[in-house]
Amino acid sequence: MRRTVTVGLILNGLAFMLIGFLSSAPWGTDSVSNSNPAFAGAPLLFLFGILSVVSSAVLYEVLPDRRR
Amino acid sequence: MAVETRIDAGLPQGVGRLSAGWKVFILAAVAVLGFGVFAYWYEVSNGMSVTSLRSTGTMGGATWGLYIVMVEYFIGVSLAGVVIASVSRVFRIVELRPIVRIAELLTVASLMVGLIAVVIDLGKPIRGIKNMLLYARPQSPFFGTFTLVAGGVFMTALAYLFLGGRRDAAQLAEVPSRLQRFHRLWASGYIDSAGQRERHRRVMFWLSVGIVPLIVVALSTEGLVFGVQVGRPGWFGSLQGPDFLVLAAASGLANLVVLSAIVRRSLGDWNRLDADVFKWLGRFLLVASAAAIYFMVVELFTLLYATPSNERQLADSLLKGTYAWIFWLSIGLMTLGLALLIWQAATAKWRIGTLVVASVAISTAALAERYLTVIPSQTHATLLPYDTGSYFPNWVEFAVVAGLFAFGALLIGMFMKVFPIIPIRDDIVPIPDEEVEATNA
Repeated sequence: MRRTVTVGLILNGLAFMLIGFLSSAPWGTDSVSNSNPAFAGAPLLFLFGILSVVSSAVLYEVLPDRRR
Repeated sequence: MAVETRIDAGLPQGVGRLSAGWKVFILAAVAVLGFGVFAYWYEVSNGMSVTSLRSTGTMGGATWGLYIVMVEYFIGVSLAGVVIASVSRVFRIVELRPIVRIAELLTVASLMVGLIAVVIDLGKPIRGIKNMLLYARPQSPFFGTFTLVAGGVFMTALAYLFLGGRRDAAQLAEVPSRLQRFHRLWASGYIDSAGQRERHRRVMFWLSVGIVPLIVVALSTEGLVFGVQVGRPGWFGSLQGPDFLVLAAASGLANLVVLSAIVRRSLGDWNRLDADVFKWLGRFLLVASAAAIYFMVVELFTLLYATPSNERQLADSLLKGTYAWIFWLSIGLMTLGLALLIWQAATAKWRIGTLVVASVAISTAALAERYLTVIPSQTHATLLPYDTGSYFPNWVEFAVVAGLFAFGALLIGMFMKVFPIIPIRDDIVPIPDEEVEATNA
């Protein structure tokens, strides 16, 4: 459970960071008029991804042990 | 007789006990913070024209002034704290363990203050933050400031501080006091079992390994804010990133030395914060400040050697013009600090008082160096045919910055009254996992 949540949060965070980064950068065009992110709020996804990765460390340590 | 408000006598390091000296310190810090808030309110109400900030070129001023200088300075200071904490953990340098929490706290406080300074510099802060989250572009180094620094480094440093304090919090939660609920919350179920210790060791190791490259990348973007700007003589260049890191290390270590000395004196803990701790910090500071001087010389040499006329004009303003007094003050203080460190290293006698003097000199020199990085390139030697401008902060900016310092001091001062700033319980045997399982069953 602990490992699943941690790995899940890390992968989730990396995915959000990748999507956020690629969507924020106007790839494939040199036009100044197309310099905005692909959609408003894309940088927020990148930030959310970072927070997800950091929170995985906290949850890994804080989640209680399984009761037997 | 000292007046002391006792919340609980059982808590260590003066936690929960409000001494007369502490109350005076807090009152003074609140007064300065209040004046800073008033100055900021005055600025927001009347517009940024009440500051000395003006447009570059057409108005002959600087759009980035003292606030941006402080952003660079405070974010730089944050570097050393978390790096020292990481190095201590990864390489198991036991001498540095007593200052690990001071270092983490310094990182958190200086990052908070630095990020607030960014917001204060914005004419319309709410709109600025909103647009940053909606439309920021990774091509801009500011993207790194607001995502890697504000999100990554700040949250990791907070996680570091929180996780590193759980064991102490669990111990404090057993002591009846008004802070017991807070300590129980911080402990968040920690019972010091062998399994929990192992998990903690693993998490702290990987956080330590992860945060160093993260902070190097994140803080390099602060240097790149200037380094990628071709249109400003003195800014464009590949050295800005590493130069920012090196000066950040020097100023951060210097602040850490001063803060550790203050903690040592206020707690009277001469045993844990002994000469060995300061010797380690002094050696690190010696290397960082020597590297900082090296970068200063290299940059100056490049600026003087067969450069275009604009660069030469900028160098003249630093060496013998408007900014000469700040430049030579910076060089003088950095040299003084380095000389004191070399002398202590050569004689193998590290005195805390001398180290503090060296640290104050180096930290002030670093602040002056940040000022010289940000301001002169805006007022002097512009590539467009504008007259030479001028900038010197006025009372509003000085008051706001004093408020920022007071806010940082308040954060650290308040923390010391709710939690031990020096880690406790280094040598307690953990509870065996079998015992924990038997209790849970």
